[in-house]
Amino acid sequence: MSGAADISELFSAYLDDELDDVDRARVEEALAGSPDLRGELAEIDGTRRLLRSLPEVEPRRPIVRPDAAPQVQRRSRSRRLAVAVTAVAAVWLVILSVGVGIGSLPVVPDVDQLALQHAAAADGADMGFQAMTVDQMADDPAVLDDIGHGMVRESIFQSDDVVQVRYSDGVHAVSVFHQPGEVDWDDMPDMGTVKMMDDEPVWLSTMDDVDVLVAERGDLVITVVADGDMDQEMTMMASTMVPDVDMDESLWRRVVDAPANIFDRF
Amino acid sequence: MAEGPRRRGLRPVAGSADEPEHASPSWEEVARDHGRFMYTVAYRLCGRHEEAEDLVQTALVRVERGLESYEPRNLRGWLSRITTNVFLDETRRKKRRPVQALPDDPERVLEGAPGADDALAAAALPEYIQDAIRTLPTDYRAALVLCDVVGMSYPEIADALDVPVGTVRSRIHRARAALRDLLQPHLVVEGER
Repeated sequence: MSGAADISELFSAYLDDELDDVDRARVEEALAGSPDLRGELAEIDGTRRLLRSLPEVEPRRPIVRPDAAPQVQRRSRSRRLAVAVTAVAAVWLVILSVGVGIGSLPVVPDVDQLALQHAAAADGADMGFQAMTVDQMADDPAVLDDIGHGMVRESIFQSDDVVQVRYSDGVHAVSVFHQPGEVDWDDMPDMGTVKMMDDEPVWLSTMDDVDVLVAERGDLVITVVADGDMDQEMTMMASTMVPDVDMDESLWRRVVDAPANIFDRF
Repeated sequence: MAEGPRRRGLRPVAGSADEPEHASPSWEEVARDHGRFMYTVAYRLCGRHEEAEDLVQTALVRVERGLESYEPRNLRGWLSRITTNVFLDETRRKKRRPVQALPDDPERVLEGAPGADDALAAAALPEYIQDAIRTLPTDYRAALVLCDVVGMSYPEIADALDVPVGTVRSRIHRARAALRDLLQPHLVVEGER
């Protein structure tokens, strides 16, 4: 280890007194001859002090015995679950509406941009998408009036070949984007993971304030962006399709049954 | 130049290595005496109150199961290890994004915060710091919280996370370096005041 960068990698361990004598001597020798390194060490030390100055956090609710908790917790999750189920089911509703096609081009949806557009659409900001009317989209079978659970169409936007339909129940919002093509699964960003849902791959990711799900059917790539407070349930929903999830049985049952209930509408 | 290395225990962590040995506590004692500590660890890890509540509840289920075989030693170390592992398990399940983009303009994000020359700025800024912590990859976050919130040594963290000590060292430093970049305007740097 000799370069300045390598030395600075040792700074935290130096400050935490976690270096052996050899590395410690190297750090001190380097520090003695370099004002820049001393400045960097001081900054890391300042960060360390800041972190260690953080106060304890007061729980917002009393901590109750685990066997008394599920009732409260389940009620909260149950409400959010309905919206989350809707978010995932939205993919399948669009899929069912569009039908199956072949011969599409590989596409990697710009999930970062679509997530931004999901938020921007609520504020009327211009992210390069243009507001569309229902009449203008009359020929698009993927533009639905509602996607169940009180989530009704709120607005429609389009940018080039990407169409966004934003649904809301007044509290949470879900944007369903669709564009021609088929998902290039190999090139999807590392920040997400591909799972199998009903024998079909889906890509899932939790981003800053939203959850994102990418799927494909026919000749459409479908990207669902849902408000982030649904993330846990949305993931649980997806996780039901793989047998490695550990959750309350009744909750699991409802999650599994929900898509079937929606599909029955068709 | 910044002061030299400091020994562990600089920031007292109640119930860590200095905790007196005693018989295994009851679940009620754990919840009463250490619930806030577990909540703090959980909140620092996940950054969301609702998620922290779930993490603590799940951790307490494991605590209750584990109390029968718990050997009194470092209770808070044990509790923080359980809480961290619950967090990591949940994260793996949720496949959270490992690295979220740092803000293009940290000044904008940190707008309105107290001046950097205020020695007590940290106390007024925890949410900004917490937001910055949330941008870290979860593995980095876990190592950082166990070090700077819980006060564990690197070997203890390595044991808790089941990774080599060198990995712990690297994660802690990279986490601090990333936070330094984000929180630069609010750092109180020795020798600059």
